[in-house]
Amino acid sequence: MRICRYLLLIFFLSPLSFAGPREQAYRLHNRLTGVPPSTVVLAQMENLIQNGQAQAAADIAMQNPRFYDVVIKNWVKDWTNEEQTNRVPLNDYVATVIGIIRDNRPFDRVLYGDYLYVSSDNNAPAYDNANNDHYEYLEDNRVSLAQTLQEVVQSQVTGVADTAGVITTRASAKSFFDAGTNRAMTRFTFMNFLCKDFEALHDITVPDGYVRRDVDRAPGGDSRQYKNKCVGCHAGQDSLGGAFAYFDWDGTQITHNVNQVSPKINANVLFTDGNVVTDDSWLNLWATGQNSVVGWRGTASGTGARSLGRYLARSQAFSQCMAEKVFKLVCVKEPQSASDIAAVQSYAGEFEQNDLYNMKNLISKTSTLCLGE
Amino acid sequence: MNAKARILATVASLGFMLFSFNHCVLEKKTNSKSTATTSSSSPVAQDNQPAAPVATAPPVVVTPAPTAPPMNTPAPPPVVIQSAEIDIGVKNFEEINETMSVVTGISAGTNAINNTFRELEVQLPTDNSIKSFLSSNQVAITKLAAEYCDQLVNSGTLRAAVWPGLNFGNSPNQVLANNTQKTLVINQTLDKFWGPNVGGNRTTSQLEMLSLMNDLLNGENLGSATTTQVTMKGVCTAALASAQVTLM
Repeated sequence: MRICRYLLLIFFLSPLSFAGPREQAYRLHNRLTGVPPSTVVLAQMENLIQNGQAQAAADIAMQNPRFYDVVIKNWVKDWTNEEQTNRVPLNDYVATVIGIIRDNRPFDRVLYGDYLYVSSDNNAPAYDNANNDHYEYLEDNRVSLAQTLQEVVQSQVTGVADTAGVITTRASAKSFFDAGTNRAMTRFTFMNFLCKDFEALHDITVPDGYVRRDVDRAPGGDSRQYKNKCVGCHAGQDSLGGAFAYFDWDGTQITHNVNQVSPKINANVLFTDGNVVTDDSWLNLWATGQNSVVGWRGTASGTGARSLGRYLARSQAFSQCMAEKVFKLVCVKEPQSASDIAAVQSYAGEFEQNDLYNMKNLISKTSTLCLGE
Repeated sequence: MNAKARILATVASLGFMLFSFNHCVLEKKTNSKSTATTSSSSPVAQDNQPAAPVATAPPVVVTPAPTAPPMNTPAPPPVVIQSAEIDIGVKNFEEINETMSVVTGISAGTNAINNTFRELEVQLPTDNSIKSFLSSNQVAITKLAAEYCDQLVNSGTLRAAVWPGLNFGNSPNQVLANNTQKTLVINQTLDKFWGPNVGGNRTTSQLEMLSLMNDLLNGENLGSATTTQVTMKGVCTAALASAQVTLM
């Protein structure tokens, strides 16, 4: 029993009171890399924080490969599946985001760039459109992504003409183009990159001309249900979802047949006069009205996944969402205080203007907001 | 590892759970981080502020019952319950594994470590939210720490990097015979695992570790080098599975 008492005391007395620059540097490094700093790095970071250069201290921590190999990897894994869990194997979606961040590519291109990142590790099996072996090997064998990832042209590797950043990666297709009607891709792209689920965009004033035939106009025999509820999401999302009409998941890989709408899109008919998708054009019916707060920019219509990705990435909500996600990543909490909310808003603006969507700058800047007192 | 070290590990888990629980719900912040603004000028509101609710909850505005004020008296301003902010997180499964690897010097790719990690992976914390931290997470952390410490103490090269000068081939009667010797290895353990000169309460922690070490040695064969190794595994596990290592 004496052992029990002593151990309890040890844990109660664990030194978690962060105060001085040294403790702040220690915490900062832990949060940005997942591991404590070496003595040398700790001294460098401490010195910088002491001199009011906390962002420079964060930049030093971010040079550690574990910033990419551990922290960013687990951060992004949540975005790649409907369960929103990081308990999934490494995949091309995650690797591509890591590569974009590492190489200081404008982060808005995550939704429309023709990028794909693969490892240069000679022992790893080559990237294959039909399986995830390449990335699983990297993770299982602890191959550093920070040190071996290299950019390739996604369209050349996958054969997909209308590539759209991570949207058209294999992992994304497996999760969001599988079965269904590809609406999942629209929904999860909004959730992951605009931080808005469709419930938040629900607007029953939008015309329902694009709502497809698979949506019952009188669920349970009650047309009010459709008019007051269903249409609020479907009117907007079905008009946008046309962008993904040519895509599908065949069980092993992504498919994209130009000028050929995937049969599953129009397969179910619950209302014969509903919209029939005939091409991959899209239109944003949420551009005006209550959802104009998203901060849309550019033409509210287009064709294909890439043009939709670009349109979404250039919205104000994209920058705001990224700033909020980064705050949660490095501060392990939601921005709640007035000062934190204002800072996140300000950083979101800088992210898309002065910083040209540089994600590393956003992360290092934001990490200084929660050094500890 | 012997039974004593395993008991040590299990009890450590319970201690951490208690620790985490207290840190999640006790304090109410009243400094500039506060989210309350609307009633800050009202002495009535400040006097009536109840204890902080569950941390990170959004500010709750409680409107007083309308029956109390007379007709011509303006209604008192709403009472704003300040929300406490959690300022710490817990490392996720991979971060914990990497951290233990970094501070001990044992590669996470070592077969024994990798196998143990794969077995425990789902039991380790999924994300960085301290609010979702469970006692079962701490049990897994302690088991993983025990594996790392077992490897560390059994490796002549790596243990020399953590405890230079400590001859593991000698008995406690020779190398852990007095408080000076014990304090030296305790300081080396904390410096290596917790970071040099990081955090407060180091002196108190050292004293508690000293008591722990004395307990581990009590009743054991002090003339055997095995006792030295087992005791150091216990000390190592306690420090490596502690909050200083796994929280951030």
